[in-house]
Amino acid sequence: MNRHILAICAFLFAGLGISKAQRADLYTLESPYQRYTHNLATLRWLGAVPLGSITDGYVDKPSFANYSLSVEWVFRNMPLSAGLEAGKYYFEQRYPRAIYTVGQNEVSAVKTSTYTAVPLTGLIKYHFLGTNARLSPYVQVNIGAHINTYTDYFGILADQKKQTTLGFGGGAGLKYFFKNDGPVGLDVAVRYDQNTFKYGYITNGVGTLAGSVGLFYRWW
Amino acid sequence: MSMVRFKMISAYHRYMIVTNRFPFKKFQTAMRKRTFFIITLAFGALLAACSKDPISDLTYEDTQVFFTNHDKEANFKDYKSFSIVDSVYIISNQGEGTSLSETDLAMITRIIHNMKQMGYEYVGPDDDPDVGITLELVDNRYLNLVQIPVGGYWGGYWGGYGGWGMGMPSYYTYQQVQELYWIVNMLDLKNPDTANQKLKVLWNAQIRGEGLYEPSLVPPMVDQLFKQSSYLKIN
Repeated sequence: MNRHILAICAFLFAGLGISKAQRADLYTLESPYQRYTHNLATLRWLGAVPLGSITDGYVDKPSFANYSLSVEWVFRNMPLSAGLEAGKYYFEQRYPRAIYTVGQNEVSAVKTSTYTAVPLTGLIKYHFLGTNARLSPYVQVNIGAHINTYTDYFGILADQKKQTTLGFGGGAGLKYFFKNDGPVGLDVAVRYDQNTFKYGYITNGVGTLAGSVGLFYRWW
Repeated sequence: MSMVRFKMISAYHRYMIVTNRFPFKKFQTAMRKRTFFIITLAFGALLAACSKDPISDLTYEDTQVFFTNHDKEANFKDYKSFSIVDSVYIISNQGEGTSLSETDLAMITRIIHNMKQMGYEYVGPDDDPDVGITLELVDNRYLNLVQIPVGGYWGGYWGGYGGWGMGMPSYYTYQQVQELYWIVNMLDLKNPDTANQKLKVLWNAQIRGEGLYEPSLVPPMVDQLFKQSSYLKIN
């Protein structure tokens, strides 16, 4: 009888020990976001200022009608992610009636100068504190194509040029997860983009300096 | 798996499936990533497509564009008197002819007013004027055969049909485009090219935009032409 009681006690202790060890494993186990390469999508709204020759009589006003959406693969066991980004910059400026020289003509018009860039780029991002830190600063570089549309309206008559050019850029930002190991968070960043578009007033490509606020979601 | 689906894949894939070697999990992952890419690109395109019309807020006056050009060798102080046509010549793909409507008369009167302001003397056509002014209205109308409307949304005015589109038969295909603009020419009657029987154009002006046939907009339209042509001034 005593032998039986001892055996039961030994079994229970052993079971308790295993369960404790399992629980310990459960708590020390890395998050799935660290164990697996996972996906991250970020939707951003940007406030931007144009830079370079575009500001010489074309557009120098800041714009708040800019957006971007990026999708990244966040690699496991390394502080890197890579992905694609699509977006839109839009700048517009209205000038009161003035006289312009177009060819040999004097042209009097209310001028509305607009410029749109749709960047379609690949990106690589480096996370200084790893990819799963609740507050995660990062730097990123982009390279790809910018689809440019230059439309200079004289009254209702438009001088338009559409062209796809090389586009590249870089930026620094901060990701903040709303919960530890959570899927959703806030992204704030500053970035600079440049392309090689040349037409009309734009003689040396278009630069844009932008600040962005966005929301991201990750899954695996 | 149905035969229809089966036929859509290659012989290699069919062999892999039949022999249980097809990596379904990898395939699923690849498909998921591909779908994801497509959604991303579609969203990017959507962002790019959402753009407003930047000139929709222009008034009639602000839509108007005034072009002027002149003979760079001409010395306008050599010309003292002018005459002007008694009606507007209509140049149109619907037919040509003359017109003297309220707007046409307002244009002629305002040109006379501005020329006098510049220092020229207004004389009759038979009084040997130094320059002659012609006034033309180009009015071309084209019927383009295109599918309308471009978008299918009808405005949502009637309740109960939220999100409904318009059912438009494909044979609803027409769209009219009108091109309307004024041309003013100043001809050198003092030095006619008798050998070639040509009159040199000393000054040319065009007005394009909207509201060009509004009588109330005629005075500021004509005034702008002369305002930007200060070289015409001889007094």
